[in-house]
Amino acid sequence: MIRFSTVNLFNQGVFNMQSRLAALAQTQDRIANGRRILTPADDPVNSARSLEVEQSQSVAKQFIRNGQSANDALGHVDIVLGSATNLLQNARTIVVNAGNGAYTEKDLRSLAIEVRSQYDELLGLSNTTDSNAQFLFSGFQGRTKPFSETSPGVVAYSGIKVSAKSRSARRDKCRSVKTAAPSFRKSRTATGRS
Amino acid sequence: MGDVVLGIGVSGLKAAQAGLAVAGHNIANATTEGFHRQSALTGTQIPQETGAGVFGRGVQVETVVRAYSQFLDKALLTAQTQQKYFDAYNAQIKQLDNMLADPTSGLSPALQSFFSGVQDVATNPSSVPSRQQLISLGEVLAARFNTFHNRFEEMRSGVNSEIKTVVSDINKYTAQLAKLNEQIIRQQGDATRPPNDLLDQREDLLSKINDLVRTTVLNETNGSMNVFIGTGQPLVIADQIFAVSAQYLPEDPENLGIYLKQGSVQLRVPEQALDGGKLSALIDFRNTSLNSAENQVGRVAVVMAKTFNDQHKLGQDLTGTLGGDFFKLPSANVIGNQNNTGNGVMGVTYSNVGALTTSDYQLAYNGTNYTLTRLSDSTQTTFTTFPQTVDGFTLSLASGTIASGDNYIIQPTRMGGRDIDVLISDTSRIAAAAPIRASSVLTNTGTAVITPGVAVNTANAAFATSGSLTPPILIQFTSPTTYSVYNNTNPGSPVLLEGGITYNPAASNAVFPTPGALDYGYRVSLSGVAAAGDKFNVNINSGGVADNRNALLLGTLRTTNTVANGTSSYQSAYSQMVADVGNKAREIQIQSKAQDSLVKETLSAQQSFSGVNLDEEAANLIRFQQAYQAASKVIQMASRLFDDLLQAIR
Repeated sequence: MIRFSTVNLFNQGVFNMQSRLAALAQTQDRIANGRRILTPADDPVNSARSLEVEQSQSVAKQFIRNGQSANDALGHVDIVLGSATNLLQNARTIVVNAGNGAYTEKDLRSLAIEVRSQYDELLGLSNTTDSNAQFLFSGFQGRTKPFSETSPGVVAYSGIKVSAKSRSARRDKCRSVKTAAPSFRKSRTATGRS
Repeated sequence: MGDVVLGIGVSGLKAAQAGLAVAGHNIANATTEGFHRQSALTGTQIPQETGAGVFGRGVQVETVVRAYSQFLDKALLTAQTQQKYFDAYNAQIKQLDNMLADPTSGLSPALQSFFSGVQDVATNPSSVPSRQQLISLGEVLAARFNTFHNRFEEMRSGVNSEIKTVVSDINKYTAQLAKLNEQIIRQQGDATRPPNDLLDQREDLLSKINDLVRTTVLNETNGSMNVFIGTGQPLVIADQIFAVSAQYLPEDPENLGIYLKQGSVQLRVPEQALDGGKLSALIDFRNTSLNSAENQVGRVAVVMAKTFNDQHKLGQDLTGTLGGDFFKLPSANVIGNQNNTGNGVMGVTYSNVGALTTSDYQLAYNGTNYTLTRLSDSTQTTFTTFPQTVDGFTLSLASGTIASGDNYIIQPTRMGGRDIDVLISDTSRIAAAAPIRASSVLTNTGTAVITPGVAVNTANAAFATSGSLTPPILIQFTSPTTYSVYNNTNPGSPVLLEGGITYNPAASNAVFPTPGALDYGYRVSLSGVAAAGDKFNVNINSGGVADNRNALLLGTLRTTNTVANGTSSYQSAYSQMVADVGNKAREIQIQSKAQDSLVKETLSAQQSFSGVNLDEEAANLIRFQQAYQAASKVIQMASRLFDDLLQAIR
């Protein structure tokens, strides 16, 4: 026959109640925190895994931000180049117009003034700066003014002609995008005359 | 005959009284710790022989015994000492577990923000706010490492103070136990009449000592209980006690070891021999979980500081000088044994942080050979001269001489979390740019292009003069498939360094090192269709404030596997630590639960034999009460018989 110790009977009852209560408390803790894994001991493998996933998430978010800033920078370059194209086309129109023999000297003079203003504007555009006051078309040397008029009508390029990938932003693990124009390529001599 | 009956009645009365007293004692002590149910053993008195036969002369109480089973009590002790071990380990590792529990306060958010800061500098290399933010985030990251280290050290001092408490408790209990031994030896003269309550008290004390440290027990015939710990070091022998003390270890003055005083000698108790009990849990937690976690965090700090610095030094800052150290590189910790007789001072430097392990090392010298033992797996390296490189660090003798028998503890990564700091405070000192710049000449007629280039070794003589490249390089094509490399120090008359290098227009052509092994510590490559006469320049990146090449490379370190021989990134090395702690905590939790059940079962078994059942005792009370009544009846009857006799002869 099994004897029961009276005290032990009570103790066992209390022990069982406490282990149930502990389980209940943990479940309530999970609900309150909204997390399944409260401490790494709850699920060691997945808590470590979640840290690595957090890193991937953070890296991915960073790439999105990089992409956006690359997009903004390229958008700026695009607008400046678009304006430059318009200016060049205007100038060409004016020059073609000037071929009209019926124009008087006074007319031609006013056309010349117009061309000069286009030239000044183009020079201004070529020295455009971005939001950080860095010149867009000077490659790595963001503070060096790339185009300057050395004598009336003569423009010198003082930037360095760099090939691909001058300034770039990391877009994902194996790709990066150029974010600024590397300066003019193939512009054999960067001089012009009005 | 009447006096015999009276005697029998009185003996029955006495036996019933004894039974009532014992049952009462049992009831009173039902909740007393360590109490064993007692019972009065009765036997018949020596009978009276007569011509008519042998007559019984009543009952006598022979002794009071306790329901004690050595087997059950020993099983309970063993189960309980193990349970206390897991309980104490659990309480300690819970601190680590809880520290890592909150994902927002761990190392990862600081690590992620820091590298986002690097990327922001890459996006806006000349922006001062971006640079300032990077420095701030670096400081936050370093501070997080420092906090981790401080927390670990708090736990270590917590362990030390708990060890002291445990040791003083052990001494308190052994003193009481020795006193009980003395009393028991005195009373144990007659072994048939054991001092039950004293024995219970002594076993309760033993169980309390066992909760703190596992003991082995030797019971002697004179009633003395001799208690030993570890591999047979005595705590109590009869009424003599041997004081235990906690002292800082000579080879590791940060941690306490256990010593036993024997005569005038302090004898060290080997830590491995202390299995079970709270004391051993504290020491095990410190030696395995805590040291390992601290070393793992330290290793991330060391590897990150070193690899980030290395890449940072390959860059050029806003002022046009080469990058310096971004983080303060932590240094390895070396502790010379206090008993060393030589005056040798060991120097430890990192030679390859990628190969660092999370173990501590012990260096011992036997007069001819040095033996370096990796403490995590006892791998030994034996050598006779310094410097010696093992597992990514280099040992050298900084000064003095090492005497035979000297030993040192080397902790390559322990202080990583404490020492890491940000050295840069000036925003312009962040080296976001690469120090060199390759460019093509405007008059080129081919379509070949050159990459802007990356530096791989700024210690090269080419970078010796700040602000210029020694020498600047001119690459000139002599035909579409060959080119020459010139020293362009004087652009008017370049000096040929190497000519006739073949060029493949269909592929990317690395210029350095050249076939003639010219190497200036940087890499550029050419590709595309070149024309004879095309020129490319490689020069110092003067004014390269908008350059982010080095910042991009710094950013890639986040996901580069630099730790543990190129198997983990900073983040995954940290995750590894979290997983290790989590696994250990879980293991201890599970074992603790299992042990709780085992103790519960063993306790049930022991209690069902030795414990007090109040119902049973209540029944005993009634039984003995009835026996008492019956015995009084016998006395009354004897008295009546005598009265009747007197009446008859009146």
